[in-house]
Amino acid sequence: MNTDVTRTVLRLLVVQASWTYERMQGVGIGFASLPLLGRLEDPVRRAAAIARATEYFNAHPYLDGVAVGAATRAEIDGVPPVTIQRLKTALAGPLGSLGDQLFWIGVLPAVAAAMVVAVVFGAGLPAVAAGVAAYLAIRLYVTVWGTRLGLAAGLSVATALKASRLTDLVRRVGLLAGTLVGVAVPLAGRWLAGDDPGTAGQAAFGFGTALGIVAALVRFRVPTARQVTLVAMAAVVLWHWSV
Amino acid sequence: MSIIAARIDDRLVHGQVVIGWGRPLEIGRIVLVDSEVAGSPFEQELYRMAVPAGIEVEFLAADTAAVRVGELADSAERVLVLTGTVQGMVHLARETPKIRAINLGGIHDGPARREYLRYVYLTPAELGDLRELAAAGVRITAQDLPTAAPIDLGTLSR
Repeated sequence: MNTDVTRTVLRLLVVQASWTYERMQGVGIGFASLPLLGRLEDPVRRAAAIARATEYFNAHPYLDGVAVGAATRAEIDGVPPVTIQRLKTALAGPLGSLGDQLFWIGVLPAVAAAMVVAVVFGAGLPAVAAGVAAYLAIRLYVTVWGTRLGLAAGLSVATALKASRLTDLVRRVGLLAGTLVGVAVPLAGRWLAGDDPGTAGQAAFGFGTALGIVAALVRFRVPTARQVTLVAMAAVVLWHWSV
Repeated sequence: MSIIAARIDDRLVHGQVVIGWGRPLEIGRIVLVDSEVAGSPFEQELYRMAVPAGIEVEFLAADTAAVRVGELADSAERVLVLTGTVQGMVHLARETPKIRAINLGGIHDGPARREYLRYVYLTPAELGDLRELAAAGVRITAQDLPTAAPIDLGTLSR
């Protein structure tokens, strides 16, 4: 990987550190864009591009690399400033909603649920550490991938995003998350109830499952993910009663 | 009346509009009135990506929007009209009486703008135009999300 891309990606890891209401992620985006904007040799053009990069922007932080890459490519190609500003405005929406779906209701609950299942089956702390490491690795990979995609595509970033099947992946990760959460919640309830077959154990199991159902209904805005969560949950509950 | 909301938001089509307002208001169509976007396929493609299946998106140029917005107002569809600028919405509201209420949803800092709320910054000219519309009977409130309380223009700019 090119060093300027690496340095931009590293800076993107802390993109929200200078978040403000006035510019939201703007200053962070500007800071992260600096290494890549070094490709502009003319100091006057570079200074103008840096100033533009710090303007108002907000999207999902893990997908910000797509915007940084695309805007930088547009700057290098000499695209008019107004068009670059409009590109960033247009990118904020899809990068925000795709990122929310991919991570907040996808990868994050999927990894968390997998960690719970692993702990229930006795994997202990190493499973938790592995889960956190896996999550961070996915986050880093997505940022690298996004920055490169944006940098290659410039103004045709919408076409590149579509061709990447990211939307397809978002749907699949959502379904996976739904299934894993559905399995994990009643399992955790059963685990917390311990060997107590009495009223207290049953109550803890029931309470945990009820909590899981509420979480599934509230959390999974994707209807099919909600359904698979409930089906997976029902399967584990039936299994619990049958043994 | 099926113009459910008319919103000014310089982020145009984004999560707060689509998920925050689209779902609770059961919006079936988002109409973006913006001459630049109406002539820019790459921007349209991006905005379409931000909208889930089940919601239509339509892009209109400012000078032809009033007629189409009038048609949609008489249809059964639940429509959200969106502009990126105060100027754009004021222009539309002057041309069609179907815009009876305007929601200030996100107008961020810029040259000559003053802060009224964290998400509402206005120039004196923009404030003047909005006050004029309000005096003509258009209900103007600031509200970023449906769960927040709407703040009347009068209270906001006192």
